[in-house]
Amino acid sequence: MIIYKSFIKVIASVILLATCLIACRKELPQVNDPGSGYAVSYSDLFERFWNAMNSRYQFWDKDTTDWDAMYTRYKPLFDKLDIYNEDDQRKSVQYFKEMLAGNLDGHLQIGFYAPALYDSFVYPRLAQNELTIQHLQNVNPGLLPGEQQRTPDYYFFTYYGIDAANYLDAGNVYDVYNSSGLGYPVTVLGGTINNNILYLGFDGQALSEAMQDPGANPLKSAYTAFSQALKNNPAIKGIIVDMRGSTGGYGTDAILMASGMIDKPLLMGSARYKNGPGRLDYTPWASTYINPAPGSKAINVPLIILTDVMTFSAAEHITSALHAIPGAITVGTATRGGNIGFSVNHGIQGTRGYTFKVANIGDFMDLDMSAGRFRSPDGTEPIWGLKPDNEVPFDTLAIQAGRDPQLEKALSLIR
Amino acid sequence: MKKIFLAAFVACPWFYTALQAQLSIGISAGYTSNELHTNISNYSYGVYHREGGFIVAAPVHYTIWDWLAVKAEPGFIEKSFSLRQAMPGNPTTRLTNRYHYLQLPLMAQFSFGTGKWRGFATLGGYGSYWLCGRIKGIELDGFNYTFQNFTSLAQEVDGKYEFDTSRDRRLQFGWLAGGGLQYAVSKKLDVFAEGRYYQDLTDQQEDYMRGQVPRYNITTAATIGCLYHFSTRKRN
Repeated sequence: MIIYKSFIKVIASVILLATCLIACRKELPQVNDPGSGYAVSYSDLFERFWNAMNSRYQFWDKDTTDWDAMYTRYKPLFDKLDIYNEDDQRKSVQYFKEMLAGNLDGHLQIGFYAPALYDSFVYPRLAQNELTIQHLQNVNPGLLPGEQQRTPDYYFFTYYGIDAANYLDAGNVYDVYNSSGLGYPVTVLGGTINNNILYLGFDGQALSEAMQDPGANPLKSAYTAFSQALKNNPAIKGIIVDMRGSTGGYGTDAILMASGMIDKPLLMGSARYKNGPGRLDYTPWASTYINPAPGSKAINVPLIILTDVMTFSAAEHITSALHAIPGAITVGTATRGGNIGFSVNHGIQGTRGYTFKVANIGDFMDLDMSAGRFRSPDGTEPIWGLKPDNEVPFDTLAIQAGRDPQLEKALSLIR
Repeated sequence: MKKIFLAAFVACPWFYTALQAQLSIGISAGYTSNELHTNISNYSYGVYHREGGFIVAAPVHYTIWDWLAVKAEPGFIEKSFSLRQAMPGNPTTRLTNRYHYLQLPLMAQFSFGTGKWRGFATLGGYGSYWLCGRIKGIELDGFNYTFQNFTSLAQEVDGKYEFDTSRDRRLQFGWLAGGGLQYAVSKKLDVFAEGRYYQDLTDQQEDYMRGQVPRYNITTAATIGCLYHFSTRKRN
């Protein structure tokens, strides 16, 4: 009986202790998907935006922004704003810019649905990258051939007009392909220089789509001529792939282009993604290899890739993939620095025409971010862009005189 | 001082003999099933799933009375879980995290029954040290996709879990409860089968960010093993 009573006391004590210990465990907080539903106030919008960045931004292991301090500082400011007041809406844009000033994601941008903010745009990489507009300082829109205004804050330039007129042989393809996947037209320039140097450039990556199109299109024609000459024309003594002004698109274009120039698997680079909602939840780096296309041969002539500050996203993947081919050289200026752009964890596609969505924040704005991180084959992460092997700066005067010094440098490396 | 040491030295063999009289050691191994207890509702389409693992341990059993013993069970345990995302129109991603721990459970064991077959219940706590981990599975390929329907191809991922001292808490503590059956093969050897429940009481993560959701492992284990008694047992 004594033993039995002792047994009961022991069991009761242990159960009491266990209950106390279990009670010490932290409760799981309520968390909501930032992309679901409508934001009814700036307080609500701020919470959604801050939490979307907190859980989905790819660079918290490198970004030195104190995101918790941003919450403390800006929450009271957003709480004072009226979501229906246009002056407050414009003020909120400035706050978002300040919060994202230290951002490392070249894709990160915010677009707004409110009519008063239709022309407002938060794109920290453009503000961070002085080179983006350095050639446009003291230059008026339309002064440079091939210059276009994309937003109130940045301009966009391609060399195709100058190159087609003054460098490429007659019979080149200089045309526009309307990409349904990208939702905008892609300009392509393809042909030869001096009948023995292949040239191909396009200002958006839609090659994968164009090649699947059963009908004829200029991008398909240009690339088909390019790849056939590569295989069959013994007179070809060099290749120039022009990724200047090329702002991204299908990541598969890198695989398509590189596969036609190799005869064994090529390490294109590696990628990693978020593996949970914690700031530092990442997958391991996963390598991507490009296999040679059927019947392809390794190139045995110089391969030059032209880049500039507008070379971005999938264009950087093409640059990185081709640069991994032995003997390939990059010429021009550093690229813009965009990682893997498609949204793994996206919400609803918005109505502004942006293709990638991380979160439609409260139906008030779209927050776009890279959905992965990219590392070049040499293990470096080009957060601020790929630096060229041969730096040739943008030359406004040369452009105005109808010359392309970067292309000329590429040609000198081949001749 | 010398007399104390001398007395202790003389007493040691007696103490060792007394200790041996009630001491048993053994080995056990089995299967674990683990889930990560957390909240992931802010991670679109993401769901955590249970995954299987294993446990190997060396129980050290000290009998106080016939019905009560205390037990330490140092061992190695694998606790796994997977994160799956089923985004519309895309392959389902699945990333399995396999974490390996050195674990030291301490518990009381309450036995009942007479004869060769006995039942027992265990109750106690444990500490574990997160030794290493691996993440393996399928992720959406950032280089192989189309814009139409947001369709992506899948890519294999397989790599070591990289510890981050700002994020990861390597020491874990929790409580456990279990029960099983024991069979006396001989006067010195028992075999047993046990089911056990482990629940972390400490978060896997350091407090490193605002809005952090705690993560706890909840593990069930089924093990079989044997126990060698240093002296012949006497039963009431």
